[in-house]
Amino acid sequence: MNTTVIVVVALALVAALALFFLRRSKSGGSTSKQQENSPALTPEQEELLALSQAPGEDGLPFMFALTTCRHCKKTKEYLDSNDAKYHLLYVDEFNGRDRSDLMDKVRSYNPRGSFPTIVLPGGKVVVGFREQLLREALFHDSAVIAESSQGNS
Amino acid sequence: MTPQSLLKVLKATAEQKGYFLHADEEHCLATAESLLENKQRYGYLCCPCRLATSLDKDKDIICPCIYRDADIHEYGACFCTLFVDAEHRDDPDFFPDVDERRPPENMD
Ligand code: SF4
Repeated sequence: MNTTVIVVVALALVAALALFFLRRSKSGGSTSKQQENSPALTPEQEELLALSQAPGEDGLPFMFALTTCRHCKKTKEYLDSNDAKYHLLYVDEFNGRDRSDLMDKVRSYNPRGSFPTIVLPGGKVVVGFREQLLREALFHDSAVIAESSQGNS
Repeated sequence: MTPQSLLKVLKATAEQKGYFLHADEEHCLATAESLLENKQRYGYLCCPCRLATSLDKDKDIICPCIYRDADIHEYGACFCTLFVDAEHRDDPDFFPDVDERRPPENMD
């Protein structure tokens, strides 16, 4: 009787250990693969990553975007055509931990986690390509629109 | 696969459901290019308007996503405005603001 209990416990222990090591090797594998696939960040990306910790706090709008989304392209076109100064970070250009941290950041401003998410100085957040909202926000902040663009228009 | 051939497939399957590709061809081509870029990067046709996580977690946003029906029903277009309903099939300027319908918990 006692022997049976010992055998069962030993078997359970071996199974638990096997499972533990299997999981560890799996997650280790995917991490190293991810690192292989993640090229080192450029200095510009490092800087954007640092700025994304406190978006808007340096006095410029901060746009979280995707390279593939139309609303992001349209928003960029709108900001550029108004000579707006802003930071632009493409979340899909980051991988691994940086990417998930950035996504958490986006969701702290926009719980839906959609793109673009633009954090304005002062903390106001514009989600999506909302020309009207951007116009109001930008034209009320003369620091963002270069004076020359107003003269030109 | 080229963006054009992908559009052809998407168009045919959409029309079976009474949906159409957006009338702005340039927009459709750009969206198809983005879809193919995602296929290249991630291995599946992840919606270009959303951030890919992994195949496991993104089954709902493989194009056409599971939110397309509801979005077309409510707004006349899908989240990326690639697909529209019959009423807007000839309007190249139809770009409604479609709110993200995907529940945030699906992103985790
Ligand atoms: S929103 Fe449109 S383009 Fe994006 S996955 Fe859904 S159906 Fe495809």
